[in-house]
Amino acid sequence: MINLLPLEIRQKEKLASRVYALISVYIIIGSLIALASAGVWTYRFVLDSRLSDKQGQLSSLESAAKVNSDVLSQAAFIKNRLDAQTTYSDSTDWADMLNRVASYTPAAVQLTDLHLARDANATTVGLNGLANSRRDIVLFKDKLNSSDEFTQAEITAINDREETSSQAYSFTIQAVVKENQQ
Amino acid sequence: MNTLIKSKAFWVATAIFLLETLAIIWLALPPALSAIQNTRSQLSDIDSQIAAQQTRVDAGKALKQNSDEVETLFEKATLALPKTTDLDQLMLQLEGLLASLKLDATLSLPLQTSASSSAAASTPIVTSEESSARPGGVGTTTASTPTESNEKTTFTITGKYGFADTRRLLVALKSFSRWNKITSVALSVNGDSSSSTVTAEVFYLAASPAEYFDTVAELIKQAKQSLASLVSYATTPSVETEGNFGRSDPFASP
Repeated sequence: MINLLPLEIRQKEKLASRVYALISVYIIIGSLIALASAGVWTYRFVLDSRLSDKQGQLSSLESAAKVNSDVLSQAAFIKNRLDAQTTYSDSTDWADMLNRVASYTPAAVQLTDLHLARDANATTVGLNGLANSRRDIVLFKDKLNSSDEFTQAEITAINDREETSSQAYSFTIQAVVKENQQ
Repeated sequence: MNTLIKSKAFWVATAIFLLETLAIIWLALPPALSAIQNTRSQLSDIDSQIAAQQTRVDAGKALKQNSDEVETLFEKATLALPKTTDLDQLMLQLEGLLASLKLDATLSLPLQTSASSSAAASTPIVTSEESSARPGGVGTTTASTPTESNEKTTFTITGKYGFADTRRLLVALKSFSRWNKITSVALSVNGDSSSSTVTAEVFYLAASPAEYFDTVAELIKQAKQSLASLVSYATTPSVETEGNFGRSDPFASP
């Protein structure tokens, strides 16, 4: 097919079509920007209104919670004390400790002094008593050492008594209470 | 095309269009995106706050349903580890404990806080069956020197009783209404006479969180296990219901 239009007119048409194409591109880009902006602003508006709703919900919940704040603070106090219990109450069963000492004392031994003391490092037990024989004293010390509750039991003194009595010896034993018992 | 490239109006229009586009993208978009990000983060925060408040409301409702139980446990917790030294209550509780065990014991504890510890050391309370018969009665100075810090108070129970009574006392102290830590037990027998000294520390803790939001059932269960077995030996004195105040001659023998 032969284009019979003059060259000048043909060039003008070509130019016009390119200008239209460019303007269309501008319009499309402009529209996209406008759409994107509208989308951003709409999303922002939706988020703001959602935030406002949530703030209202939060303040109404806060008001509802305040009604029971007295009982909530009592519960907080109870919880705080339960958490502090291990620090501020005794885990050692001292009565049981006395029972243990009694159960490890040989039948022929009589205690005259018992001293249980706890410091930052350990709980120690000091025992003074009277015995018929040195053998009973050694047995007592060995029994303490073989027990689950005491360790490092040592005889620190054995003295002959001048009094005429069946209990011919006085003694002192020192021991340490095992850590799992403290 | 050449005509278009050569056209000044075309280039001016294109430049204006590009500048406007860039200006919109550069100036308006980042603040808008930043605001969106900020709002999203606020929403996330507020969601967690709402969840916390919801838990708080639920916990409050559950606690309110068990308010009598909570009140009892709160009183026990207050006795066990008070916010202040609360030595008056401790003295009455220990006195009640000794009376319930029927022990002829002397109780020694400071009545004042460490701020005036020198006075405390010289005026320990002495309470026993013996002390009421003594000319000085309550407030008689003993040889003991109680130690005290901001958090703890040391008390001593001394008496002329033996192994079995000391053991009973230790058992009672284990379930005593105020948590205590025994620091020493001394027991001595000389012929027919026995003497026993038990020294222990009690504590106070001022700090406590404002409110509790967690699981209520678990808290009550745990509190019952730990606090319900504690034995109180005295009620809190009330000037409203007891005391019978008012005498014409307060120096006359009642």
